[in-house]
Amino acid sequence: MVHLAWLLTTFALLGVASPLLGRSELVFFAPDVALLAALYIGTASALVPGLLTVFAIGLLKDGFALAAPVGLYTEICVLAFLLGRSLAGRVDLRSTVPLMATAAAASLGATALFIALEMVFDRAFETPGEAARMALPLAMVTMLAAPVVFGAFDRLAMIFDRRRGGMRFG
Amino acid sequence: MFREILQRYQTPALLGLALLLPLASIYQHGKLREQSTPVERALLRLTAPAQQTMDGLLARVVGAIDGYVLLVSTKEQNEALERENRVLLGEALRSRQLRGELERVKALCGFRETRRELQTVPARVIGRDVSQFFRVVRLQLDVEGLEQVREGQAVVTHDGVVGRIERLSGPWADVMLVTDSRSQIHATVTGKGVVGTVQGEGKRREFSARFVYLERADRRAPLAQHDAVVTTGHDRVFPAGLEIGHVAEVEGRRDGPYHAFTLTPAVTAATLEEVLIVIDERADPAETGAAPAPAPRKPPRIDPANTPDG
Repeated sequence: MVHLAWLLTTFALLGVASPLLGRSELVFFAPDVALLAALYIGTASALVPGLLTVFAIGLLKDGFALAAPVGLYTEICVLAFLLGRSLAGRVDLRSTVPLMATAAAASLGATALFIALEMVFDRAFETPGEAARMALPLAMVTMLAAPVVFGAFDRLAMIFDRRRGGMRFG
Repeated sequence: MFREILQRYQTPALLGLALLLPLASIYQHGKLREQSTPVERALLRLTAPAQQTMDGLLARVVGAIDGYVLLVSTKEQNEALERENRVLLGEALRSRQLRGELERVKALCGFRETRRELQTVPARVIGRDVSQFFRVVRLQLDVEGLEQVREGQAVVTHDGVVGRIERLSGPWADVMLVTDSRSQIHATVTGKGVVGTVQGEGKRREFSARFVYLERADRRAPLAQHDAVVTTGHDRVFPAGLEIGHVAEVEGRRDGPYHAFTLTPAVTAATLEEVLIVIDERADPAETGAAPAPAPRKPPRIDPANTPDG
């Protein structure tokens, strides 16, 4: 149930982000909510349900960003989920600074992967330089949004799974 | 055995699918093509309503912010505009007052030009006795420095007779209006050949005077509504040819051999600002080079047989 809540929350955030940032002409500086959700779910969920949820989140992100080939963000989210799972026992993602650093690094890696996959698979992709220039600002914004997203997802986890308990972030 | 294999390789298989399916999709959707795929159309159907709904909500929120929150500065702008508007209205009012004053002065100057046989001095109205029904019953003039002003002198405007100086008190002069019950002016009706006396009625609710004349046996009442009543000059107070008023009602009252008609004064004293005081009347207008008086102002033709004195 909590996975559905995470999925719907991510869906809502993606739905808000698109028109909101479009109105404020900041569409290129939107935090990568799907990436943060995948990271969080990787650290807080079991493998199979988490993987399915993240897969769905990636598809939703693909649906909101149809300029890129469908599956690109799904791939990135699955990899972010696996990254989160591998970091869960090594990095204290309950603390703000490690979390923000991890989010920034993940965002930079996601942008690099995006460019790489685009260049390999997308024959219409002609602006790798533009995407590379956006990498750092996007990482900064995603880093700043990470505590908020993790806090919200952790709150959802506590609401839906009080017995198990969430990460109790922050 | 099959189950064991499935359980053993379930996780790697799932992970492989999760990684390879997107790659296959990227490969498929990265090709140059002209039509969208079923997957793209399905995703669009899923995300487009959400975006549309969110966009509508945001539009309402932004509209509310624009309409209410940002109205704080609009209120200040409105107050500033109101202040400016008050200043401009004051200036416009002052401008209208000046224009009215200029027109009145021009009219008085025109009157002095056409009646150059009259020696007049201008005076400003500084006070009015106003009844509870807003009818002016007396005027007060500022005559400071006007040495020639005496009691009994005529007070006129370009419209006609106002009254006469009743009392002088230092720099002020009280004017008895033609509507005052003590006021009597020898007058005639223009073009009707009859003369009589205009007497004020002294009524506070009516602003009128009576014209009394003697009816000859062979003539019916010749007066008509709006007939102009002008001074004859016989009373030696008011120069001849000044309009006093006009007949308000044709139906007159019979009082022995006399007829009395209600008149409406030519001058509305309530709005007077400036007047002329006639301090002297030269005997011969030609000596002064004065232009002849306008038609309604001409001294009337008097039939001596039709006067109250017979």
